[in-house]
Amino acid sequence: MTEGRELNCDEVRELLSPYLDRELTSDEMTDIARHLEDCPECMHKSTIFGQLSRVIKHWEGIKASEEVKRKLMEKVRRDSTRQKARKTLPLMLMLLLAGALLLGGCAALVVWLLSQNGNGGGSGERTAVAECVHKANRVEVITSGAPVPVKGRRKLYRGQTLLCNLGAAAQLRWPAEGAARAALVLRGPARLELVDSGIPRLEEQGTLVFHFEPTMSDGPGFSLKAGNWILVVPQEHRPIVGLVELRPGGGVRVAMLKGSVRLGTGGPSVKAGTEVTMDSGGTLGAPRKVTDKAAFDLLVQADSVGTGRE
Amino acid sequence: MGRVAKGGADAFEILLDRHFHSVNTFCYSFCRNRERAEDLAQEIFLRVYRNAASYKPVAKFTTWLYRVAANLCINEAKKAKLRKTVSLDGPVGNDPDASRIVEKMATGDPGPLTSAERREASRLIEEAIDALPDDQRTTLILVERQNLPYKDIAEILGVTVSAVKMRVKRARENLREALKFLDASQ
Repeated sequence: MTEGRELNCDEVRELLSPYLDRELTSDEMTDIARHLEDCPECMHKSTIFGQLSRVIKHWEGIKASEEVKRKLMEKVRRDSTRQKARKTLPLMLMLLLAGALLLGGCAALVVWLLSQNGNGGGSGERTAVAECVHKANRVEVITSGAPVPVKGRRKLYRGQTLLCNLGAAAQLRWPAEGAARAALVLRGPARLELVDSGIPRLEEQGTLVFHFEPTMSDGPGFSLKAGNWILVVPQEHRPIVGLVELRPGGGVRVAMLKGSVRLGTGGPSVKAGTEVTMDSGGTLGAPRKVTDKAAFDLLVQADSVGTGRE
Repeated sequence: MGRVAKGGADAFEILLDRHFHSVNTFCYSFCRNRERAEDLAQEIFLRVYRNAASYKPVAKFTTWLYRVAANLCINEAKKAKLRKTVSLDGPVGNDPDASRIVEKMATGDPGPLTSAERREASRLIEEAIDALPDDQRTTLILVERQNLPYKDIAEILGVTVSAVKMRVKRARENLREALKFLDASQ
């Protein structure tokens, strides 16, 4: 359509609807308005269309109940709560994870500290008393709580107890560090406690073979305990090899292969090649020659099985 | 919409107050079943709420809203074949009182109407609108009730602007037939 062009009625009626909706260009609007002024028929149609528009605008439409809107808002509020929860969930998970890691770390630290404390013994001292260097069959150590199997070399601390089951044996190096002063072999069933003073004490029953190295200096000797009995090992310039056997009834047998020891401070001395027994009441048996020398071979045997075979 | 996108249920309630009624009427123009229209309108607003973040303010909110509405209504109509044929054999307006009220409305000066009169007139107009073919009815409602430009309506309904123009013209012609008594009153 060009500006100022005369429109016929068909053309105007075709454009009447977009004219009423103001969807035409300003030129087209002007052309149609001019035609309507001069054409009563087209004007009538335009009026009817206008009236229809007014009627539709007066129509109330389809009214939804307020209940529908209320239900919708309930859904939206539930959605909103879920959305917020979804947004905060990753943060909460991260916090939980961080908390769990922190707790885990703390727990691990506590366990480690306890285990270290157990290793150090009741006195809390961290110096190892002895070291288990070989073992045969099942040997366990009680640190704090349940016994833990010994696997390979293991340092032993004050307050710990070494358990050898029947048929098991463990060889200890004493002290744990520095020059070795003695080798101790525990033959099961036996229970050896490293009391707080650091002195090994045979508990309940079992056999402990000992081999003290000669020392070049004088000074206090060593002590071993077997039940209520104490074995005093003097400081000598020669090796001392012997065994102490604690019997189930409380009696004790001490046999010496090399050197001598004293059974109790001021008690009888057990010399090389002899053995004595003492019952639980303290009655000393007559000294006699050591006949079972194989018992002392235990050291050698323990060495040979010291690879940790279970 | 920005506040709605951030999960603001209160902001959404304002939108609901402004547009729920119109959208409900729009849905009715598709399915011509009041209960179904309410269900559809609810679903539309839920979608608006859940997809508020994807709304880009380059388009008018009403255009976006009716596009969501049209998509859902068209799909629903296709799926459930909701459209029922309501064809009136002749012009409406057999009720002289209602016709008189509509005539008054048409002149633009209906004067004070009682709620009963308004209901009667509404029923009459609704019958006339119901008589229109589906595409004409939907398009006409978007033009007359929502005052949306043809271009937006074309976008909403997925048709050309020429098609919108044609539908509106035919809808008015048919409506004029249905409310023929208006002609006679001239």
